[in-house]
Amino acid sequence: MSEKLKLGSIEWAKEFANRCNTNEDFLEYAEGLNTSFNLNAPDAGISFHWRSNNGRAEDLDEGLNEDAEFTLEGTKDVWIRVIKGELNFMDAVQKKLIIVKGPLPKLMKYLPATTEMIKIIESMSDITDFNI
Amino acid sequence: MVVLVLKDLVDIVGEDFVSERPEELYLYSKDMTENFPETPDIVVMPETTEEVQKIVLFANKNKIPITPYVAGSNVGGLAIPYGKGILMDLKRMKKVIEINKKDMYIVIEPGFTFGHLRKLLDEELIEFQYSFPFAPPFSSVLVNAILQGLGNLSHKYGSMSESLNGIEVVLPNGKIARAGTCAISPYWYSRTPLPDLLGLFVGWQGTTGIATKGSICLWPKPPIITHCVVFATDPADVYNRFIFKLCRSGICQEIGGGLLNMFMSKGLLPMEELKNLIEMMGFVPRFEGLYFVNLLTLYGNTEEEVKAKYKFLVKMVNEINDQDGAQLVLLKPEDYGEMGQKMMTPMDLPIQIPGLLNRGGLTWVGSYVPLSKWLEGCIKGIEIHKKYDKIPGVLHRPMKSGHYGVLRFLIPFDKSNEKEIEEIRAMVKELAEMILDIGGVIYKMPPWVAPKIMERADPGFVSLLKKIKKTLDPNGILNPHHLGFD
Repeated sequence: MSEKLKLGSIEWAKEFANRCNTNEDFLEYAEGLNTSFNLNAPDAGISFHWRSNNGRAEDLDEGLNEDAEFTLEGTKDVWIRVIKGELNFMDAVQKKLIIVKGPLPKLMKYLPATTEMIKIIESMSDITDFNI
Repeated sequence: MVVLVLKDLVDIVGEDFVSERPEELYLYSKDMTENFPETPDIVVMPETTEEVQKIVLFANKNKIPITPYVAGSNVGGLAIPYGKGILMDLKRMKKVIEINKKDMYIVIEPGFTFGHLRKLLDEELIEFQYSFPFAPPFSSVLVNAILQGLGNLSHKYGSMSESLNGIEVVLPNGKIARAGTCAISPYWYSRTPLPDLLGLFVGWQGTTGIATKGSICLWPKPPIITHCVVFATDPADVYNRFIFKLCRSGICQEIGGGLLNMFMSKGLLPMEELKNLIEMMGFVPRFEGLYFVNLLTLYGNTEEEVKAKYKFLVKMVNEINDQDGAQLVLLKPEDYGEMGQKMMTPMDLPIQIPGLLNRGGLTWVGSYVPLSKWLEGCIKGIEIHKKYDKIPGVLHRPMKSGHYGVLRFLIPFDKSNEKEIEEIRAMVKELAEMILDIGGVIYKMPPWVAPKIMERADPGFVSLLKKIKKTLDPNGILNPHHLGFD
């Protein structure tokens, strides 16, 4: 892919979903992870949501899904630092730079899947246009 | 007598390496534990086997007790000179006598430390590893093996004494003897196929001979290693549901950790961050302020092999959580940024233990127990700590694929507070009795616990011990008053 995708655009989100759906390690760790996510950067007006079907990202769309079980929320700058690998996602959560809303014990069980998903987000760095 | 001894010892090692100065004797009179101090009459520091031999000959002839010593970091009062007499500090004997890469062993002297070994492995023997104890770098490698200690690879290779191929000892009568293949062959590669005479010296705390050389196994270092942490709020989740499966899976070369509190873990583990993570999940620890941290190392020849082991571990933890309602949290430190880096601290051995020593005193009741009894011992030990109003720290390490396990209570205390020391003495006795009651055996047995063990021992075993001791050391000069039957 030569053309870069604007951070948070629907094309960017679809590529993220595609990478999740083709990552065998992630899908293996996420087996049984049936839930729904919002990813949100409110200061930049970026948000999209998807449904996790055993880890497979389905029904991806722009905007927030009010019924989503989990919301991952941070400022645009924080997300950029995470994607660029400058800020560890778990450090960001510890420092409350990223807020994870939802029934956390359920996610705890899927920590290996969560960390793999973060690696996928980080892998988006090479195709992301950060000038938004 | 001291003047006469001084002259004789000076003749053997030179005046720079003998001392009867009170301020120097004082340093050897105690260790970090609650064990009663005792001052030696004189300290001598030999450099060669021949010097050790001459000192022992002299001491035996004059029936002067000798206490062998290297670092005094055994946490059991084992090198406190309860017979007074000569304290023989072996620090100067720190040479590597032989490195045999093909047959995977090194021959070392007793003053060779884990700090020396770390440097040797990192710089010259990078394809090998050795089992490192949770101990400071100045601890002796050979003494640790002879005292049947444990290390970070004990899950795979067992107690440190199982890494000993052979030793050379100076017997109490001054004769030099070797045990292992080195008694027959120029190669120090094994203790079989021969009568295993290492048993006359291993576990005897220097009461039957003074080791002057020893051969230890080097273990092949796997090209790929990945560290993991399994965090739990209840030791029962770990011991009823997880640890036996994990041990038998064979995926780890290291398994260890324990039920830890904030105070003890300071500088060792990011307990505050781990606690926050657990609270965020809404999990509540079964014992207030105590968290079970289990450090694991997956190993393999390729990334794919290690990844497959990791996937197996993920599946195992998920199944246990799903089916048994356990609350195990699996983390891979490399994915956890600053917190992950801090989690690696106890895996970088040898190690200083600032959090444990910041009140000046540290003791333990350490034992090898049937792994099936670990949980019972842990819970009973916590009750004993409560009775004495102490916060427990309970270490665990399944040994030799889970054939047995380490149950160790770590107890920091204020070394300047006599009242607290008295309480500690009472508490450790109670802990030791409890361990013996559940079928465990105290390792590196401190002098106060030795009689308790002998009381419970098979009379034939005790009689045999006494006969061996009497035969090898008829004058009772080596490290007297330590093993409970002299």
